[in-house]
Amino acid sequence: MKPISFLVHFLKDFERGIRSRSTDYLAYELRELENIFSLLLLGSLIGVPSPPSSLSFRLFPHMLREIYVMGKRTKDADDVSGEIFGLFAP
Amino acid sequence: MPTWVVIVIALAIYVAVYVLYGRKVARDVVKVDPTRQTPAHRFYDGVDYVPGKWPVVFGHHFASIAGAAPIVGPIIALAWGWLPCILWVWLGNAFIGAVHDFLALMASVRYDGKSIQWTSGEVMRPRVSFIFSIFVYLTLILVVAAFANVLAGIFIATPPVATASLLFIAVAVLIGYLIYWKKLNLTAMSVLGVALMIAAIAGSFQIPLALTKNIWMVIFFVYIVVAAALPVTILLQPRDYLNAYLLIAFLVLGGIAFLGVQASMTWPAFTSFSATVIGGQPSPFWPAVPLVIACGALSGFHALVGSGTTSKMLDSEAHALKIGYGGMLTEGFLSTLVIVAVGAFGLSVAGVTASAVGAAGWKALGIPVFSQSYAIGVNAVFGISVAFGAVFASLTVAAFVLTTLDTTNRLARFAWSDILTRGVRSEEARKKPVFRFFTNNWVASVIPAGLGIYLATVSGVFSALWAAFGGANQMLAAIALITSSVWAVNVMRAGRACLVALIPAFLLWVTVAAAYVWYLFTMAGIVNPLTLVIMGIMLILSFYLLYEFIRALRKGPAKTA
Amino acid sequence: MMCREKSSDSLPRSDLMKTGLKVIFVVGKGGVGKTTCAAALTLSLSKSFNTLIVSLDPAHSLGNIFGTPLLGKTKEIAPNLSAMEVNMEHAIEDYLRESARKLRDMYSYLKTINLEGYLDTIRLSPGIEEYATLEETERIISESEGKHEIIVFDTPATGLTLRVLALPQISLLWGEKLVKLRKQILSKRAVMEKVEGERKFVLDGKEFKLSTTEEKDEVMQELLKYMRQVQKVRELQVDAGRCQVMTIMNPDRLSFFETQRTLNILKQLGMPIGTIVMNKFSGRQQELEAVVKAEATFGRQIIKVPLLGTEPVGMRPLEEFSEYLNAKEWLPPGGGDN
Repeated sequence: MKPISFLVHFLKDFERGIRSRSTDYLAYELRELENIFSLLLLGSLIGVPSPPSSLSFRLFPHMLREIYVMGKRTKDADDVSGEIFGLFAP
Repeated sequence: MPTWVVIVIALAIYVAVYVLYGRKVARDVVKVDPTRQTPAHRFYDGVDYVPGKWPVVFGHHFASIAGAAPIVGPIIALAWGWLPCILWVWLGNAFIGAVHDFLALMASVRYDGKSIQWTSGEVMRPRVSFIFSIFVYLTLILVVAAFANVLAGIFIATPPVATASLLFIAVAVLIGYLIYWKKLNLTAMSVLGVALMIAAIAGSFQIPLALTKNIWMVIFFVYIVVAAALPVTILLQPRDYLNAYLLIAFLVLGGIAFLGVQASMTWPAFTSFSATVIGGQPSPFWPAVPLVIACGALSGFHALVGSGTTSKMLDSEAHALKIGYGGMLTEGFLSTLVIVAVGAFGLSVAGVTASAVGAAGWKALGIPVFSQSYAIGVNAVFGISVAFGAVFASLTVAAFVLTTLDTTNRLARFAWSDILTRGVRSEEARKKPVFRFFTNNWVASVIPAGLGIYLATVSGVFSALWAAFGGANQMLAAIALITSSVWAVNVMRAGRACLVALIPAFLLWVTVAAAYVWYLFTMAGIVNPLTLVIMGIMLILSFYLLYEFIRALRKGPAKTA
Repeated sequence: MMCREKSSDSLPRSDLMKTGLKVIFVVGKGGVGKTTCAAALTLSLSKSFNTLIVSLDPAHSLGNIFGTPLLGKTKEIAPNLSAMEVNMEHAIEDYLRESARKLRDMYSYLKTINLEGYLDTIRLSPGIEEYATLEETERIISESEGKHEIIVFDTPATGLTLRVLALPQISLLWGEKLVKLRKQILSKRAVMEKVEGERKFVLDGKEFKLSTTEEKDEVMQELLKYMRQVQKVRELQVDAGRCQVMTIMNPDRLSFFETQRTLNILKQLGMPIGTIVMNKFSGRQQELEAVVKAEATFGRQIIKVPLLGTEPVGMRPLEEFSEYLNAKEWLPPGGGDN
């Protein structure tokens, strides 16, 4: 019965969609932490108080994801409110 | 009229409007193109930008926009009679609210997932984006005020709900601990969570918590400040998650119950145009109804949700109508259920006669009347005890309110610092201790919580404070709709088809401005002056907004293609 | 020759008791005679131990003192006595080039940047000289294991020296903070993985697994490796059995205050403070009072070395000069004659 199976699938996915909200805030926090991690290490290259640059150089090659997040965050810096307003909307 | 007829009509209208009108908007204004890559594909990274199947995105979006407001608003507005309210929920939703949600979502999709706030600065002037922040911030204060009031009303009228709510917080913390720290299986923990909630509701009757309004206000204040400072995994994340299951149960039970129950709308279909709705004063249906029924018909926060998170999950532009437009219609359906429930059983539950509704001296109904009505319907079909059902319904509302109070404060903290750093540019000023004081995180948290709770405590009239919140929400929606219209005209260049956006935008602006003026004059002695000041600021800014709107339209599309 | 003080029992005995490589840092303001004293000390020590003297001082005066060019590599200038002047310019250059290489590897997927221009800029970046100096020092110490028994470091300007000596502790502090932050990131990722299933980070069509445990996380492993390395230096630096600081001062007020500041910082760093030498002592009354004050403030007896008529340049004059240091008295045991 096509409509029934469609409904069942729809409801299952609908519930999955609701369930995906169980990690929304967590994902946001994780992005922020990755961003901060990158910024801390980058600071040594621009004279901001930070760990010794030798440490930065050693870690950077392994930090693909973190640097990507930092880059994306920088690009979206003019719309940070967008993400927050959407996430924490009343 | 039998309740099931009302529900069937609602479904019919929503489906018809979706097919006949929604698709037209998608085709002619937005020019939906299923072949164009959405941000989820363009920026696909397997982690944050991941396209989802449309029912999944729909569930996510709907859970994000659902809250307590689509329930509270209609209950108050019923003083006008159920027919005008339901017409607003059906037609206002279809032609204004759902269009607003859909356009905001699509504009965001076309702008790489940028928010409606960013877009407003882009299609008009950067200054508008700044004003948007101010509107949001002021709205948040009113959210705290109105919702704290709602919550206190529920807790005082039905003390078991207070107990259940506190137990619910404890359950959320426990489940959160098990999921996020102990990393136990999510499905198992969800089941456990649901089971514990049922137990909590059952157990709450044994230990009802009866306190005075002022004590509750103090508790709420402390709760807001503390909750908004905690790491999200402790309370916010798990509770928000469990809330969603409460909502599903609520919708499913309510939907089936009121389709199946043998009941009729006993509530008066129409009382009078200027029934006593807001603040004990005669309130003209136009322009005042948007002040009362916000979510359910039209809500500015939906634009923020759609453009903030949903746009980044969309798999194809073709899904946007189902999710943005359809999602809002679904919320309208939720409000329909509320109206039907109270319409069928409200008179007997509240113990009033039809002629008293909306007449002089009428006091706005609160959630408890709705919960009771809901429970009667559910009891008739499922046999669940009315007392249990009522606590369940009230708990659902209370749970959403608790989350709202939490997230609102986090948001307010952010909006506050956003405004300050954008408003205060010079380094000199930024070094001053005053600035440092106001940008302190705790100060930024305490101010909106404090102002909101203060308003909730001193504003005696529940409906008036709710109307202030509703008005602010509608004003946000107006900005969003104005932004979308300008986008449709100047960027999409959709020509005459833009009228589907332009007409609602103008009508909405006029309605809300008129409502504000009415409010400022009529509520002058009734609400706290601070409320009036906040509304006044927003009214003034809204005139400036109109100016920017017209200016952008007159400027027309950019010369280069 | 009243300045020729005979040693007494109250002189601090060197605690350099442990076997294995020992390190002595000779610190002091420019012009106090630091390099000369370091050279003389080394000469004395070399009678009993295989000693290496390394000059980090950009003034390059060590070669002059020994009367032979020393820039670049280690030279054995006498039995058991080797010397070297570090070419800091080259050391910094090497440090930068190595960093540039790592950057080049990392930025392979991003736009290429003008690395030459970048190098010129960060050459002047705060801290580059300190990092390069520390790395050079570490390299020399590890390469000397088995070859020499004592290394005497003639340090550069006090400010730079203190910053270099503080680096290990600072690095450890930063390391701890970063480890903590990294743990938080990994923990949150683990939760997300538990709830949502394994996710792969996709960039330019390539998939990368996001690590969720410390063992599999390259960043964490690199961090821990780094901290272990720094920890080794730190342990050496505070171990009185393997490391000492010899301070050279002059009998004037400026030198006194400067020395006091330096010693305070060294104490905070936990570095063992050894002999204090008052160089260019002329025996005048006020200088004697200065000595008394210094001994009282610094809590140890001070070795006085006279102001000589001519600078001790060359091996023979250095030999004579070294008599004044009485190095034998506080030498580590287990060496030659005593």
